[in-house]
Order: sequence, then structure tokens, then C-alpha cells
Amino acid sequence: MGVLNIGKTALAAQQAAIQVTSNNISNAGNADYARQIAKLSPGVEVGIQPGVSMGTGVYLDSVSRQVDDALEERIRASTSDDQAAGLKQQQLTQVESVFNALGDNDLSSQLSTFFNSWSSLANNPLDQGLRQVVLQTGDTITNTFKSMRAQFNSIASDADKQLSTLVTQANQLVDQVAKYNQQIAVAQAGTGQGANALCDQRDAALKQLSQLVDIKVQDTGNGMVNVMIGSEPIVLQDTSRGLQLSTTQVNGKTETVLATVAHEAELQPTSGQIGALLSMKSDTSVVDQLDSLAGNLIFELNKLHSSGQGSQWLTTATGSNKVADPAAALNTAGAGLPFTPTTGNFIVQVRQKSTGLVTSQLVNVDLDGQNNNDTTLTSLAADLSTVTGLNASVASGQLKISAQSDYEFSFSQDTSGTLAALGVNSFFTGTNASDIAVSADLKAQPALLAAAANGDQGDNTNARAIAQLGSTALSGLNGQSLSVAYDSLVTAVGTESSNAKTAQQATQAVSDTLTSQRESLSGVSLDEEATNLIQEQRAYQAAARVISTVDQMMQMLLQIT
Amino acid sequence: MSVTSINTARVSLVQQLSVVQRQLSSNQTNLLDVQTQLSTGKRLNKISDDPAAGAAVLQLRKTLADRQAYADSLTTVSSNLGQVDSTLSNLTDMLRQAQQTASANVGSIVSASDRTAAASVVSSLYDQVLSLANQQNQGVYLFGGDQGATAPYVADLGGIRFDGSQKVLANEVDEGASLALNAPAGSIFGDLSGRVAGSVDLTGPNAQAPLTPLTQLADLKGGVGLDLASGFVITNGAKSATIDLTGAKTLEDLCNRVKAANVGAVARINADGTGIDICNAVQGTAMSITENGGTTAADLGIRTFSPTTRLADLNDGSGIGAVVGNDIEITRSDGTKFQVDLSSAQTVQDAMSAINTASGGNVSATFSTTGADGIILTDTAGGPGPISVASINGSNAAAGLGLDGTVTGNTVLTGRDVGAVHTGGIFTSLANLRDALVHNDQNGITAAAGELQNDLNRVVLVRGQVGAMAQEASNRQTQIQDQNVATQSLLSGLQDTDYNAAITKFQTLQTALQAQLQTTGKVLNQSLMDFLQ
Repeated sequence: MGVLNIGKTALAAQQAAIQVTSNNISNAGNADYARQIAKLSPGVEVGIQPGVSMGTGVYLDSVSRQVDDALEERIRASTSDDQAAGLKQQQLTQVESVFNALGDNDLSSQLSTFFNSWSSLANNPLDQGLRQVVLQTGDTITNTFKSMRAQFNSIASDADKQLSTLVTQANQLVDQVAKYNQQIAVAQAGTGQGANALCDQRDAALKQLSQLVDIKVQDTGNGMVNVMIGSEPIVLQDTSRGLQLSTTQVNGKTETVLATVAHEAELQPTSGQIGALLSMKSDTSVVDQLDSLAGNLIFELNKLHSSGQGSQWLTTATGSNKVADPAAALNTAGAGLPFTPTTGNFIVQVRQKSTGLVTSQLVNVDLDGQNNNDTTLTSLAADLSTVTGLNASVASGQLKISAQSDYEFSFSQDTSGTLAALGVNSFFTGTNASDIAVSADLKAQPALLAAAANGDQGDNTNARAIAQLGSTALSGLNGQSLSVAYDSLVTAVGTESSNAKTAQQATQAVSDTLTSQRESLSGVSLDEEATNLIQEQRAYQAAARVISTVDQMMQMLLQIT
Repeated sequence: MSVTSINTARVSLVQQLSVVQRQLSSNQTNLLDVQTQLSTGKRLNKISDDPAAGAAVLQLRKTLADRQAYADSLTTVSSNLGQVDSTLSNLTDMLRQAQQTASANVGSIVSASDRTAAASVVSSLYDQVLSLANQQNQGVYLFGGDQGATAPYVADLGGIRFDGSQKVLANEVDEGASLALNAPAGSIFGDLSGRVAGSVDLTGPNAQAPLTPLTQLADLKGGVGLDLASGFVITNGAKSATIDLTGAKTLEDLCNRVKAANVGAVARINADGTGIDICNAVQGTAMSITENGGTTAADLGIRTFSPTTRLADLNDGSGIGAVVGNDIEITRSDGTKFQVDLSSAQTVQDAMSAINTASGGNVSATFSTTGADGIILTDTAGGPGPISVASINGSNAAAGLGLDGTVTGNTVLTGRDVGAVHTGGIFTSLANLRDALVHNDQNGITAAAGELQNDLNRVVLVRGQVGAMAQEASNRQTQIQDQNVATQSLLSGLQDTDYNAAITKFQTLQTALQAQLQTTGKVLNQSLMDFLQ
């Protein structure tokens, strides 16, 4: 009866092998599935007589997953890098598109148009129409600055939303991995075998997790894996420590970081989508530079404008920038001005309308911090009040100057930057890209636009100087001019975007190559499975034939009796 | 396009599909890229397409925008200078006409009534020149400098007062180069008199050069030797005003007082910033500055005629016309004559001393202390005849010193004020011609014709300069156009699509895509299963 038994083992073993093959075929399109191989072993030999032993058939030894753990780890690392690079490229493309640098109406062209409009005004300073053009082109610039700033804000807030969604996803995945760990350990129960489907699912979860954040996976030997970010574990055996966003103080700035829920340990992901978003979130250089550009444009142009005169002189002027403490020296934090004035002086000229005679007075601004006599807003207002024909006061932190009836006034030769810092007789109001605007006083009275520097209504000296400002090296921009600084910002963003594209292509190539390697090992080839199926079918048929042969032999024996 | 290396032993279904997917999407991305290039006509659509070329494009676009501003300025320069040129052409014609009138009215054949008639022609020319001087271009006075909103030349005190600015507007026409937007009124029509240039250095320890409008009067000359209490008197034409400095604190106050006096005089700080000038702004009047009982005018160095006045400054800077050797012969009341050599005299005081030395005691030269400034000769010889002064040896010193004045009681000769300041210019010359014609004064007509010749020479010179500037503007315009063509072509090379290359690439990619789809269709359809029955 031994032969019949051998046939039986063969039937059972081939059936199992066909089941594995069918399982492979049915998962041929599943990228997370690892090909399984049924390993058959011959039965234990039985001794019949001394020196002679015979086989007892075939048994299913194991069903093993074809997975290279080291390769999986490399795939996860490259996936993290690839996802980080892809996300960075996506973000930078968005940033670059805000600049629209090569468009016909980008900020760089608008700045040129703006400064050219001053040059046109210099050609004909008495033309009121050209004053309108200057104000309109100024308006265009301020709107562009604001809209760019708003677009950057919305890119940032979109990124924030994305980040919190991704962290929630990652947290779920981490929990899943811990759960799979537990299930696999139970299923394998110390054998180190079985639970192939669970392993596939855990690998899939880990791969998904690696898209979000760069992880390291360690096999603990009992079927479970530990997962770490950097050197900080997020999954220990069957326990998930959880992921969440929290804030921390870095150099006085609040920064968002990734941390575990348990123990609140700070994590430092370097790649993956979450890593990329966090690093871009902390890098605000583009917005900072745009603000710095707008700030420099505002202050430098206002310095020139506040020392110039319009074709009409002022009858009233209000500082657009507020001082927090009117009794504090103007260059101190107590005053809280967005731009810092220095020691110097300016001339205020008062013209009596009825006689046309102009009287000038020098106003000193002392900000050397010595002798306890530094200029404050209050003292400045008091000084200005002593000028014949002028009234000056401080109202809610703003300097208000008004001419008495029959008088009008103007300013010139401000070496201290005080007027610009206070926003008196300024062209722009605001302090950065988000609040830059053309002075409403000028829009209401274009004749106040200061094209002149000597008080004559047809002078163009100041307009010429302002027309040159776009190309003038500014210390606030590290010796770069406004246009050069803007162009280099745009070029830097473009270069970074281009580099990110190249980097993304490189990481993708690595990731593709590794995936291809994995597929080559773990993927299901239908042709191969078909071959296997034929082999197993034939083996099964042959085993059945053995049984039928034994059966015939048995019948023969039975007929004898 | 990333290529996945396929050095693998087994090919799985997922692998086959993902490779196909990746390569299709990569191919389609490239196709889209070329399509964008073809449809926009631009190779560079954003900086990241080619950062190096992008940076160059930004730079070139800035250069083009800058040049646009320069081109606009040049258009204004050309238009303004064109207008100036046609004005100068008209002006030249008018000056020639005035000259012809002058030369036609010299000689004995012409009667006084002919000359009176000719005077009305000159009067009409005078008015025409005035309207030329006040010509407007797009609502702006062409010769108004930086005060183009108001007429630069205004009738005042019987003459023409210059109200414009001496500043000529300019604007950038290239990096570091600028051109004038208009022509200087002064060098064409005349503006302010050269005198009185303050002859005294007013700087002091607290009033260092350059003086500013804010310099305190009390600080001038270190605060010593300056009489500010008395004030001074400005007489211009028929108008006279006392400039009272009471309460004036700064140089600006002083200038304002002069301006407020409204006598056609302009006070300003001199170019070196060391003193003050008071200029006559009216063509056709004489301005003198005298003391108001004190020494203010002399202290400020602005007295027009005084013992310390340099002879060279007299008669509007033409001096007294002294020659080598004796210049004047004085005939005393007793008939005795003596001659005086003035060639080494520098100041009015020197001249008076020379007379006193040569006179031998019977004639004394003193400077007037009351009324108009002038030299007074007093004869104590006691003779019957009137004292008289005549120039000799071709000198003009008698008239030059004003000693051709009136004689009172045969013994006192009151000299004229020869320090009075006139403002040169076309209106002065035309007025002089008109007055000479009216007064039937042949010498005056000849002199005016000479002045007109000077004016004409000056106008022709300015016209030449304006022409040269217009030429420069036109050259620069051409240059900018040429440069723009070069820049545009550079720009096009950097950012425009090379259609040949792009279309070739498009074809290649299309072919590749086709081949890919065909092979994929075939390969994916094949399976061992198809062959097993």
C-alpha cells in the first residue's frame, strides 16, 4: 500500500503547488504582492531491508515570499527621496509661476515702466497727465507686490493643509504597521513562517509611509519590525508611538515640527513629502526677500520724494507711519518705526502765498543717544511749530503738520531720513510687500508729486533722481540695485526650480530602477506561472496515473481470490 | 527622460506595465514641452527652462526698457530743440531786419521824421521778439527753464524784466549721459546783469563758504564791520526803494527784502558762496545801489559806484577807456590846463588821487556824499570860465569817469553815476536803437547796430550749439535703434523657439510615441496562455 500512499502525497503536494501558482496568477496585477513559491520536499525514506531504503513520496515543505529585505529598504529610502523631490519641484513651480518672470507684465517690467514714467515726467515736469501716469504705474507695482505676496501666502496655507493631512495619514499608517506586527507575530507563532499576505500588507503600509516620511525599518526577529525616523522609534514591536505636528521655538521664531504623540519626542525627517513640506515651511527666504525689496523701494523712494517739492506745495501733511511712543527717540525700538532715521537735518520752507516769499528753517534731528536730548516725535513737532506759518502736532502717534492760512510749505535736503521714516510727504505708504500702497494724498492731489528739488514748480531734478533709483546700488540690498536684486531673486528661484526638476528626475530614475529590480524578484510573470502550472498539472496527472495503476494492480489481486 | 535599466532576469507583468506607463508619460511630457514651444513661439517660458539664458533675458529686457526711457527723453529733446531752432531762425531774421533798419538810418540823407518812422518798425520788432521769448511748447514756456509755467520775460519799469530761471532742464539720454531739454534763455535774449557782484568776502568763522540762504547775517564777516542797521537804496530806472534790514536774520531774509521791494533787482548768493550779488533783471533800465546814510552797501560789497569801485567795473564792465599816457585834460576856471594820466589807477579813489596830484591844488576831486553817487570836481582857481574836462590821446576817460556832467557856477562839476548797472540783451539793444532813432542820434544808432551785431553773433552761436545738440540727440536715437536691433536679435536667440529644431524634435518624438504604442500593443497582447489549449 506504500505506492498508493506515495501517489496520495504527490496529489496533495501538486494540488498545493497549483494553489500557490493560481494565487500568484490571481495577484499578477497587484504591485504590493510578492510572488510565492511552493517548496516541495521528498518524504522520509523507509528502510526495507538492510542497506535498502525507499522514498515515501512528496510533501509541501513551505510557501515562501520572494522578497529581498535589503532591496525593500533601499526602495523605501529612494521613494522618500523621490517623493520629497517631486513635492519640492511642485512647490517651486508654483512659486516660480507667481513671479511669472518672462511674462510681459511681470514685476520687473512693471518696475522699469514705473521708473521710466518718472523719466517721462522729468522730460515735462509741468505736465499733469504725466503725474497721473506716475501714480498709475506706482499703483500697478503696489498691486503686483500685494498680489504676489497673497499668492505666496495661499501657497503656504495650502502647504499647511497638505502637511496636516499627510501627518494624519502617516499616523494611521504607523498604527497599521503596529497592528500588522501584532497579527504577524501571532500567525507565525515563533515559526518565522506563514502570514505572507499580512507581510505583503505590512510592506505596502511601510512603502506608503516611506512616501510621506523617510523611515528606517529593523527586523526584530519575531516577525515584527521596528520603525524609526532618524534615531527616534515611531513603531516599537506592536506599539505605535503616533505622529503629530507640534511647535517649537527656534531663534525666537515659532517653527512647526513633527513629533511623536507618546513622549512628544521631536522628529527630524529629512525627506518624504512631510520632510519636504517641513523644510520648505521653515524656509521663508523668498517672501522675506520680496518684503525686503518692497521695503527698500518704499524707504529709498520716500527719502527722495520727501525731500522734493511738487508743482504745488503742501498745506497739510500727515506722517503715514505711526510712532508707538512719541516720547521715545525716533531711532529706538520704543518709537517702533519700520524704517530707522539717523542723525542729520532737513530744511522746511514756508511760502507766504500773498507775497510769494519763501522762508527756510533748518530742523536738526539728533539721534546720537548722547546728552539725553535725542529727537522724539514730540520734540520734532515742537521744533516744527516754531516755524512761522506752521502748526505741528502729534495725534495718535502720527506727525501732523498744517500750514496757517496764506502759507504753504515744503521740505528739502533731508539727510536724516526722518521724513521718509515718519512717512511725511511720502510717495509710498506701508512697510513691505503686503501693505505697500501709493499715498492717498498724492492720488487726491497729483500736483503734490515731488518732481522738483529746488522748489521751482517746473524743476525736474527730483524726478530725474527717482528715475535713476531703480538702477542705483542700495546698501539695504547689499549693494545691489532694486532691479538687479529682483532679477537675482527671480533667477535664484528659477534655478532652484530647475535644479529640483533635475533632482526629481534623478531620484525617479533611482526609484524606478530599484522598483524594477524588486519586480524582477518579487513580481509575477504570467508566462512563468503558466509554465509552472503545466508542470504541476502534469505531475498531478502522473500521480493520478500511479494511483490508477495501483488500483488496477489491486483489482488483479482481488480477482485471484 | 529617465531610462530604467532592464538588466533583470525575470520580467513580471507589473514591471512590463509600469515601464510602459513611465515611458509613455515621459514621451508625452516631452511632446507637450515641444508643443508649448511651438505654440508660444518661445523656447523659454519660465526661468527654470534654462536659468542661465533666463538671467540673460531679464538683463536684456531691462536694457531695452532703459533704452525706451532714453529714447523718450531724446524724442522730447529733439522736439524741444526743433522748436528752439525755428524760434532762433525767426529771431535771427528779426535781428537782421533791425540791423538793416539801423544801417539804413545812418547818414545825412535820412531825415528825423524818417527815423521816427523807422523807430516804430523797431518797436514792432521789439514786441515780436518779446512774444518769441515767451513762446510756449505744449503749454510750457520754451525759455522758462525750471519755471516754465510762467512767462520768462515781463514788461516792467519801462523795460523787460527777466522772470524765468537760469536753470536749464536736462534728462538722462544714456547711462551717465544727459542732454539739455531746452535752451538757456540768458544766452539768447539776455537775463540778469553781471553786476553787482559783491566785491567783499562775507565769510566768517560761523559762516563758512559756501554761504547758504540759512546763513545768519550776524555771522557774516565774523560779525564785525558790518552795518546792518542802515540798509541800502536800490534805484532801478525811475523806481527807487530802500531796503531796510531791520528784523532780517538770514541771507534768505535779505534776498526776500530785495525781492519784496519789487524794483526789478534780484539778490542771490554768488557762485563761490562767498558773498552776495544783486543783479538788475530788467533790460532797458539802469540800476544803482547807494547807501541809506550808513555803510551797509559798501560793507556788503554791493555799492554800484564808490571810491573803492574798481575802474574796470565801471560802465557795465567796459572800464573807463584809459590809454597809455595822459588821458584827460582839465581846463580850470582860470583857463589853465593840466593833464592827468589814469592808466595806472585801479580804483575810483586812485583816479581822484591822480587828479588831485596833477591839479597842483586848485582843483580837488572828491566823491559825493549826498544824492547820486559821482565824482565832484571843485575849482578854487577863481577864474571866470567854467571848469571843463576833455579826453585826450584817444582816451575816453572823461566820459568813462562821468566827468562830462553838469557844471554849477563855473566851479563845481558834478560827475555822472557811471557805476549804474545795465542788463545787456536783445531788448536793451532794440530799445537803444529805437530811442536813438526817436532822438535822431546817429552815434546812438551806430552803437545800437554794434550791440545788435553782438546779439546776432551770440544767437548764431547758440543756434549752432542747439543744432549740435539736436544732431547729438538724433545720432543717439539712431544708435539706440541700432543697439535695439542687436539686443532684440540676441534676445530672440535666447528665448524664441528655433522652429527647425523644434519641428524636427516634434517629429522624432511623435514617431517614437507611435512606435512605442505599436510595440506595447503587440507585447502586452502576447501571453503563453494564448498558445496553450
